[in-house]
Amino acid sequence: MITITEAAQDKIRSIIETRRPDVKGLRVGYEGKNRYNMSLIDELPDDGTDVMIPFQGFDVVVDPESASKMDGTSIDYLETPTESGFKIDNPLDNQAAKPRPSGAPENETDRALYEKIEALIESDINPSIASHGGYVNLIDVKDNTVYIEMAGGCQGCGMASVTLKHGIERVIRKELPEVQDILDVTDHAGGENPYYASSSK
Amino acid sequence: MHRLLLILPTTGYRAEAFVDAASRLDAAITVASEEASSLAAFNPDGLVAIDFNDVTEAIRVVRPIHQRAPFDSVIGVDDASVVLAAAIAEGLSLPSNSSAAVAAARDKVQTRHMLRNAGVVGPRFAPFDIDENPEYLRPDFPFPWVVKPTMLSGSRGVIRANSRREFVLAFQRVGALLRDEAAVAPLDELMAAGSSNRCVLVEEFVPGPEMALEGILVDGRLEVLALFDKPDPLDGPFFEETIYVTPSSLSENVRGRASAAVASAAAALGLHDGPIHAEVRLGWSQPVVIEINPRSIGGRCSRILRFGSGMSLEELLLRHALQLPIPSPRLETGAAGVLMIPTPGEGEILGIEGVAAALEVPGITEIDITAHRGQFIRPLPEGSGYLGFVFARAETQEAVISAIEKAHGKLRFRLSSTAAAPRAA
Repeated sequence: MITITEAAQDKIRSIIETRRPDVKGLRVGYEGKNRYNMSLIDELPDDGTDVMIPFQGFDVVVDPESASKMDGTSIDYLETPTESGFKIDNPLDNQAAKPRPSGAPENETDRALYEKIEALIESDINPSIASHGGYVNLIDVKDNTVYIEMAGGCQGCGMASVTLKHGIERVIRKELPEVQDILDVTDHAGGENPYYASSSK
Repeated sequence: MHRLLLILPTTGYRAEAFVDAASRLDAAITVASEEASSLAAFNPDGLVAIDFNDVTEAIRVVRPIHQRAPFDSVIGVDDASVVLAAAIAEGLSLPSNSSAAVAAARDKVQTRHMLRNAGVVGPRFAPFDIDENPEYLRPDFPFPWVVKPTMLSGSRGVIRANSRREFVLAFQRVGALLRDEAAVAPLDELMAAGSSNRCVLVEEFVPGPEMALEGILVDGRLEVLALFDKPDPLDGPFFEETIYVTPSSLSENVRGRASAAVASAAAALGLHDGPIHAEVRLGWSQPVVIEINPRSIGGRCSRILRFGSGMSLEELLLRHALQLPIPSPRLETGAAGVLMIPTPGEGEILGIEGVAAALEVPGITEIDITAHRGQFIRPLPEGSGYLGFVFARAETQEAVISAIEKAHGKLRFRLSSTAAAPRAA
């Protein structure tokens, strides 16, 4: 369920009344951790796929994928001498990063490789990169291609590609030469605490 | 197998681009950074930590690796690493620009002296120590002036002054910036022949449009890879870079003269090999080289450049360094542009919104947000770093600029109050 504070409702109604009288609703979308889009829409969808939440004077429209990630979200409007704007508070954004539970592939060959890689990650890789606040999740193994996600201090780190290609890959390939590609599926843009943040031009 | 020593600062923007390029060339690389990799124990010859401010010590660390498996080249990727890369190359007797030439290019005062001595057209200038009283300083050229630190990058600390009052304030502001933090690597200061981190350069403001040149020096000859127009005026008081778009819409004659000016400037500095990035002003009767650096284009802007059948700028540069054939240095057709997202204010980033909507703008090919939630940002002249980059590709330059502006209009960085602004680290 998404809630909108009175201040935010008042602001939305004010925008509609003063600038956009044709507006029927507010579309809100989840784009990744702490990233949202909000746009005023002149027509409400009628195909039944979006989630519609009625408020006085307008409806909030959320696509199903965003709705699944915005349960418990509160939308507020702040106006202070130094900042103004909508503030979105989503419990999902505030969750501490934790390693994903593993889900081994069903295919027997892939599963065997998956388990060996998972053991390497736990024994060698994660204990080392923990010193930089990072860890690696093994996402999948398919036809000897490995899918990993870098998290914690590695997510968004300016040196993530070095860590991956010249650290993680080396560890894995040395022990498991049958591995083909190792693909990084991390949302690096969503990283909030990268160990090395790019800053020098 | 070819072998490269890559000097990669941990806080730069180009690690991925160079690492990927080396991977495509199947070149073995040793990455040398100023801090140790957490996985160095698993790849001791491939991941090393070196002191960026101690050439002798850095060479001591990499020499045994070079002896076991010789490097073909040493590559610095940005301002923070090119001087050290040249010095290490000298120490290992590998081909490179001389470290003196690279250090001179890093030092704006030294650059101005060398260009003037070589007869390259440039603004009049005067260097001063930051402890001098600006009330009494009298450069012998008329306002407007540009006040700039000698060794900072990315327009940091660069301020236009139209009057004595503005000059005094600008000088004090630049002085405070340089005193406030160790803004310049000691190595740069050590290797610069005629300047120091305590030096403020005051030079004539050169009016007019500005363009950028991306090129490569081959045996002292400049090959122009791309010329960028900068559609947003850069007239001050600060000089934040925004949109770069290529190919340039300027006449062939102007492009030719700008390229010739950059070639002359490179020769004057003693640069003869590798990447060149230069900024050129076009408001005088002759093009004026404002800056010239022996590195590739800043931030992640190089992603708009694709050569031949999709080769990146970094791959082209590594091919050159390794003396590998370069299939076609011609840019892909059509117009391309990048926006270095301007910093909207000072504060902690609370949220970044509108990325998906901006990506939907026709012509936008990629949006790379490099700042992160929780990061404290501040605008120029004190701030540094980029919030991110908006990339566009279209048939015409106008369409590229329009797409970038529309996309930028959809991005929003929510910032905290500035009341608790921490000191820059």
